[in-house]
Amino acid sequence: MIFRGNLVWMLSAQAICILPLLIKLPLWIWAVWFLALFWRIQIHLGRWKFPSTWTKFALGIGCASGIYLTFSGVRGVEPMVGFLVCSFILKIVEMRTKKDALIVLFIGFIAVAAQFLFAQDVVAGVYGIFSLFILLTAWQAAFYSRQISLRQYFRIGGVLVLQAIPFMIILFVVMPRLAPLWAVPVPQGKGKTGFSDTLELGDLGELVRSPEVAFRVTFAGAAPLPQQLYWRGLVLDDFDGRRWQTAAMLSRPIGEEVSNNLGDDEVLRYSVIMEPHHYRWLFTLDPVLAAKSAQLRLEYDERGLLSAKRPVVNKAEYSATSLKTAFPPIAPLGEWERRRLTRLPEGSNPRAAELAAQWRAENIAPKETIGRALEIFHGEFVYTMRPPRLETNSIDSFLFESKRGFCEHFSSAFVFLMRAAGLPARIVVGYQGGEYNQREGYFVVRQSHAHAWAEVWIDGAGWQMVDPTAAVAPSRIESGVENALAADERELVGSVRWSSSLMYSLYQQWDAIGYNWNRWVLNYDKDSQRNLFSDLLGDASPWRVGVAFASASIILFAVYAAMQVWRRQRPHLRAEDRLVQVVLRKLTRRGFVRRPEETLGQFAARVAVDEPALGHELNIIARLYSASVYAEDPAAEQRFRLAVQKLLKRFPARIAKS
Amino acid sequence: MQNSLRVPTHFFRRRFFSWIDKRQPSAKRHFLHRKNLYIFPSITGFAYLLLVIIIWLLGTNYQNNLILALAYMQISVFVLTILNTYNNMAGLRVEFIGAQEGFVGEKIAFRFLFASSNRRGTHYITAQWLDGDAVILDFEPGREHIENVYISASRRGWLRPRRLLLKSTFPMGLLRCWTWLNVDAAALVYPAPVESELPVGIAAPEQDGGRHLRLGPGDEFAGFRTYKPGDSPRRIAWKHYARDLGLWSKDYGESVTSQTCLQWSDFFRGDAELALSYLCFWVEKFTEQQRTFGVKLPGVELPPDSGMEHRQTVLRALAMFEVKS
Repeated sequence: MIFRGNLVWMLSAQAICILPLLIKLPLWIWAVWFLALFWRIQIHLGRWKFPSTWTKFALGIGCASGIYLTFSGVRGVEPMVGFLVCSFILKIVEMRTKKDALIVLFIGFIAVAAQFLFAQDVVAGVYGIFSLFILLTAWQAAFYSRQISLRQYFRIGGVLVLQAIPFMIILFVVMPRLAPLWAVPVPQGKGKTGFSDTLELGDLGELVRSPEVAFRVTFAGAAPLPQQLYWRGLVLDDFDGRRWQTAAMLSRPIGEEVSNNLGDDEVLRYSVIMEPHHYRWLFTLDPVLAAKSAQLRLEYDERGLLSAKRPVVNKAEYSATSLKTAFPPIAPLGEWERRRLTRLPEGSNPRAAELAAQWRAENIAPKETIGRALEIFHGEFVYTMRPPRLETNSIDSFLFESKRGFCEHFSSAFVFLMRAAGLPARIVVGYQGGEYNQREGYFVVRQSHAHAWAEVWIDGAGWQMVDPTAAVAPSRIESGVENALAADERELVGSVRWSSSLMYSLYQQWDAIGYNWNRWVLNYDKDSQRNLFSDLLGDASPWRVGVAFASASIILFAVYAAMQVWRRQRPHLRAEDRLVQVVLRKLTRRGFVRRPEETLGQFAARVAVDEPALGHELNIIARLYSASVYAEDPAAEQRFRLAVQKLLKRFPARIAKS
Repeated sequence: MQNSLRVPTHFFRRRFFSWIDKRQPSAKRHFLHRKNLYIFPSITGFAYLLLVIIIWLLGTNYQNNLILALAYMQISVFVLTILNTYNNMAGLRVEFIGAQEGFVGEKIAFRFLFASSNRRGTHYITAQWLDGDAVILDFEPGREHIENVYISASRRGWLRPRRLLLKSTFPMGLLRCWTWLNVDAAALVYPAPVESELPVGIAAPEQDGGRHLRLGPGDEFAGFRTYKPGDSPRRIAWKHYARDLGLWSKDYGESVTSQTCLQWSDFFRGDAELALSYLCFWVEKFTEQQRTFGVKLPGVELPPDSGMEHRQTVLRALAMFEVKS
């Protein structure tokens, strides 16, 4: 049977488990939940009845079709979670027996697991533990037959959770990690973040307003300076006159290890924790030699871009190795490629095309062409987040009229000029720089670090990186976008601002906690496992790990068992009980032995047969004992003590004989 | 079908009990500890482990470490529950105090003293004799509890149920911790009373209640007799005199119950057990009517007496009567 106290526990456990899920689900499920709660309380008050089989059937069909209609076309995990939450909610209405309560609790565990599908940060972890605590308390409350206070309820749940955590950690560290056994639908989430695979003038200006974190990165060894960090994400090599986009290209798996012996002074090794952006591309420094990841299947294409086989929907970590210096070209650019990378739409931006055609006619060296283009920007151009809106032939209007623009204006104009001058060129989109966290030594790269730059092919030298923005606003690269802008525009840049340095340091501390959580909890995988075992145990051979696991578990549970036995050997006796024991011992010496089934009063009556005075006193003690222990009367307790003392005076202390 | 299923159970149970008997001698007092407590997952426990596997699969397929951690947390809770379930029962003192006597077909109460030396007491425990009725008990810490455990009596004589099952799934229902105690307990069972005709020779209780009056001082009306000089005028039946029926005196006396002897030979018709049941019925009836009666059984003779103590003596004699064939 479900009692009142237990029902309250069950309802609160359910509420706590499903709240984070309800936020992601349509509003009508909230309505179903409130209705179910109201119904269950009415049942409890005896006003309504339990639903009949037909009502239950109708409710189930109703919810299922509601989910079907709301989520039609969505392939993600959300409809599944919606279904789970609905069945969880409806189950509580018909919950009647302890078995029903157990089913509700079991669904509760799955609901906690579903919470982790949507969020995995520190807060989600703490909330998950909290849900588990309420769930386990509700479970134990269902089995408690005694009335206990709220504090004791929290105690039994809290002790169980706290005792379970150490062994959970042992299992978490030791248990082998398997690859996914089959494909599963992924959460669709709130949508894609960051830039998209097309670029129009003005896009990045919007993005830079967001302080959202794109990824965090740690370098093995000394970290390079922020101005050296050009995180390549996407190459845009097709221009239709208005929009730049990326050409489809075949990808192949990338090597995991650097084959040749390159020293630490020649390569950069780093590991990146991506925030889910729901795209496939990843960010690396050019040129990348090798990369690996436990969570993502990595690919690599001709343009040196690293990407995942499926969109990144969860936080994911990958590590990569890049060369510090540019890579010499292996082969010359093919004729078809050269044509593709110099292609411009017919008749677009005629003035810019004409200018570049002049350079081409002069037949100057590619370096000179680049220099001339950058020289234009040195002049009267302004770096701004509020460029004017540009209509058709946007590059012409930018170059010759407005002369105000953001990084994508400079880079697209630059690439246009290069192509028009006959040099293969492309735009690279990604992030530039990073915010260094002193505490843990990693860079936070935010959306506000978004940047676009250019790459130009020079025969014999290969792809050369050119950042036209550096020509107009060198401080953008040296000290960040905020410092490159005019004072009135700085507020537009998305970044985390704090009124005091203390707050900033607390913020950095919090970010560092999140970062460590990602590194050690979320991204703890087969490799980290092997490294940890090697560090702790000397090597990661299965038998060593097995012995370590067994001994750690045995020690842990031996401690728990010892704690329980230790408590048992010293039973918790009340002061009154101890005094009664003393009296009984004295009486035993006198020849009166209390039988196990006798109450103190009955025993007193039996004693009174032989020794009326003693029996009378014992009877008084028995009555005061009851008053003191069962009625909890403090005055009786005092009188009880006096009565015991009086009775003990009848027994002369044994004089030690020497 | 059911029989074929029960045979192996029966076989294993017998093996199990003979193994237990070797480990633990029959005694009045038992302590529960690791040598006599057994523990195994319940059906709920297996369902829970299935749930853990489902959550682990979810975590593995999504490569989600927090879901994996949840699965490991659940395993950890399960392992802790092994300790907690055991610990709830361990340290319990079980002592047989005594048993009520009763008739065949009745539930006989065996009284036990339970004392939990656990800091939190012993919760939600089921006590049950083998083939007996289950009672659910709950013991507070530091207190002695006296509780009855019942079993139906099927045969007269000494009832020795011996196998006391104590089990509990507290605190989470995941594991079942149990023990079979070999208890040195016995209760005397009287034959079931079976109604029968009173044999000829014993005054039927319906007629006159089987009583007659001893004349003399007393206040119960006994009858009329012819007037004798010296009779108190208050005793003269004036109504009779007024109707010209002569002078009569009313006689008074005190009521006494007739002495009856219940004899084996009066009830024995070839079925000794039935005869004992008939006897039993009349013992109960006569005691209820506060009659004085004696009992004669082959080899046993109980002098006439009345009252509850006499009833017990007679019933015990009936319970322990050995039929010689």
